Amino acid sequence: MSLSSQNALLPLCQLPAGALGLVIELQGEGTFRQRVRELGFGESAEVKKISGRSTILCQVNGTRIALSHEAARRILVRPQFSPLAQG
Amino acid sequence: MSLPAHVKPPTRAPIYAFVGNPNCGKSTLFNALTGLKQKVGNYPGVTVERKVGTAYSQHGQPVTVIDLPGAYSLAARSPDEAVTRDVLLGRRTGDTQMPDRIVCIVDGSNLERNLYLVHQILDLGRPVILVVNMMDLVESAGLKIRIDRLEKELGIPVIPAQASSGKGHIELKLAMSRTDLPLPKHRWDVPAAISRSVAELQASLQDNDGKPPLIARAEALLLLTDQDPVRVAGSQPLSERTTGILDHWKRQWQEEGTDWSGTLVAARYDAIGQLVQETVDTSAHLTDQNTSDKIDAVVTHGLWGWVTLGAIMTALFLSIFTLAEHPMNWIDAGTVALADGVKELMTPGDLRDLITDGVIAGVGGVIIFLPQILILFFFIGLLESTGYMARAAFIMDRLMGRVGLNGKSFIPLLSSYACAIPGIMATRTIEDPKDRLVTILVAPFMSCSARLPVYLLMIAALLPPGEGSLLTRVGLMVLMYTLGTIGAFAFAWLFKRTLLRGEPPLMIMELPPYRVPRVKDVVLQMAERAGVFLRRAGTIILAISIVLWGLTTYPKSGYDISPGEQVAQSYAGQAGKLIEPVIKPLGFNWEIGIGLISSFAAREVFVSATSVVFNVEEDEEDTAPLLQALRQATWPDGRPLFTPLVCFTLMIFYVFAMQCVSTLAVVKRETNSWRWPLFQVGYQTGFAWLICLIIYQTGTALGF
Amino acid sequence: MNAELQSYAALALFLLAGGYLTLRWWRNRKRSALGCGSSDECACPAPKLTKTR
Repeated sequence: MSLSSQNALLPLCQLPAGALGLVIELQGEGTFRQRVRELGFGESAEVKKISGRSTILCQVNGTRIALSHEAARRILVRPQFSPLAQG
Repeated sequence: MSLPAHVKPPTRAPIYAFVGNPNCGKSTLFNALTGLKQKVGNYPGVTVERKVGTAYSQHGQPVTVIDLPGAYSLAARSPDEAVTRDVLLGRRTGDTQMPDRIVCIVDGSNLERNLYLVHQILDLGRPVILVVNMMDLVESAGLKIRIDRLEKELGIPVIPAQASSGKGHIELKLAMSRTDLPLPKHRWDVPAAISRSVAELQASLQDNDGKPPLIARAEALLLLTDQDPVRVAGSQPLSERTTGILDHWKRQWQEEGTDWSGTLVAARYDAIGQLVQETVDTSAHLTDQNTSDKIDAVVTHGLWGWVTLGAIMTALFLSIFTLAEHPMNWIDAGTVALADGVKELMTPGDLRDLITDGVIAGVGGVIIFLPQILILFFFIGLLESTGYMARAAFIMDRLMGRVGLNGKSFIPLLSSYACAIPGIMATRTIEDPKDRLVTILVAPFMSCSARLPVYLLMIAALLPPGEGSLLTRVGLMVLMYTLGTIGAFAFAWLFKRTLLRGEPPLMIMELPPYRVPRVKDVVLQMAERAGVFLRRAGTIILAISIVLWGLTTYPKSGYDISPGEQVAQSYAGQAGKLIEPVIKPLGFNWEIGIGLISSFAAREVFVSATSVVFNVEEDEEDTAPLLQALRQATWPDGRPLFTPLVCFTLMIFYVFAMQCVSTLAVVKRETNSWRWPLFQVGYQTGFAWLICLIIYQTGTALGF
Repeated sequence: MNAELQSYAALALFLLAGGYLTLRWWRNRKRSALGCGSSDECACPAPKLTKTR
């Protein structure tokens, strides 16, 4: 894994469509964080954002997961370089 | 350590529980194994479906199987998951025995996520059989699961299966027939920092709550790391002592500022990750877009998604009109022929009138909509089983967000298209009480299937056969559904800004991969619904039709007056006349008033009521089809009653008005007060009246 | 069947139907703790939609 150090943390909602991100930090209530982790969306999970501005669609671990904007805002990711950036 | 009792050769047939993530093919497997030997009901006190079936072991011994609701984790976030957790932890001894053995079903194409729940279940120390389902998807994704390795690592039987084709069923049956099912090799240590609290809580659960040791340990782990356990009615509460210990540790950790739940989830995922690495060969893993991706690119697209949704809805209503036309004509002709037959056989009298004008007209008037309702249910079933429903919810989430709700409210609202009652009950999955209340308040605006007969009758009255194109009819129908939907959103927006302010909660939802629907399952479900509909027509609607006939017949005047005058002075006529001043500005007379009042029993009764009212009034030897009777209906001064404008206004009234006693009863139960149902009657019916007044008066002024 | 007899039969059926509805309403009120699906209150599918969290 090649993490580029210039890459700052982004909330998942701001990740461009088609880009890959590494989940670094979860914010929000405990119940929310627990469920996000249980869905395999926890820290160090690799996320591919598929689409969405208000409701976000992304792929984690072979599963497609939809998140509301508010939920996506609480998931901080580090953008990854991806050859499939156009998705 | 001595072996727990359930590992010894059982004295009674063991009870199995089927457990798995949502969309893992669990129910298909359950259906295949138990066939028609199922009991479907509800868990008392909760609106969660309880499915228990009987499978037969290899030796023909009956085996009880409980199909538990799909869950992602034992840390429940919805009543469904709470039931699964409580049954497994033996908290629902009142209605469901604690299962002796557990069959875990996982989606092989998404093994890691699915194994999370399995990992929690292995904690319970019960014999477990693991079914790796969807092996076809595993192959097409280029994965290879080494079943034997998985079996060796976990120490339990692992069965590859493909629920849709029946692969693996016999192997599962064989495994379930074994008396000596091994206990899983489940080595993983609780993080040292919390082990003391786990031990203390476990001891208390064993001593004060009577739990077996391993179950107690699993429950202790769960209680300590799940901050907000969803509680459901009918489950045993914890003992006071245990609650005290739990509170103590939670307080202490809060003061220390530590949160162990994340650590625990990570520890489980670490163990699973290792297991998956050893057992799944991903060398040939295909990274390019699969079919689901390609479909989703269109279906969840900002513009094309809406186009698709619109096209599907249009196709749905279009087929409701075109495909159902002929069967409906046959039923109509059959009803008329039956009534005429009775008239020929019997001498004139009250009983004959009751049979022809009450029973046949009333029940026939509702049964005629069976073909259309079947088509609607067929489509709903089809959309569900393909996986499109979740996409529709995804698209709608954007809209819901704008009015301050989230995608979760969409499921109850969507269910309300069928009937507001399951819709309102489905709001139990919404955690935020304000969001839940708003959803309950607006759910009855969605056009339920009981309104369908009214719309269809009014559209037919509005555009007699031969007039107006098919597209106009479909357009009118879509308009009614759209208006109801807009009404629901507009009022939700209003309520979220005034009465019930609050932040929209966070939503996370899994979109299952697309699947080829199993037509057999869809048809079975459709047939089940047809049965319910017919049973209802044969009982409640039949009784209501007879009562309505009675209300339009009694009290008898004793004089020889025309049938029309008789209805006018009957109980129903008096009630209709009582409300006529209120509804006259909308263009409705007292006869329509009878229909409106009787709609409170169920909206489709409007059709029966008008059939009864207008058939009683006729004194002909031949039964007139309802539509003809409507067209002949007039005001006292001879103006036609059902003008196109009146038909349209009446439809609009049905879109918005709150007219369903059953719904009100459910709202009362769910909100625990009469305040909200009464508010609902007031605001919905008031709004309906107002908007109908505007439409009718404007329409009249414009000369329609 | 003559008209008078028919009148009585019709009245009896009317009362029977009314009684049935009242009884049903009363019964439902009593066991209202049970959810939809336990009675045939609504002729509708309880849509088994894809699970959301």
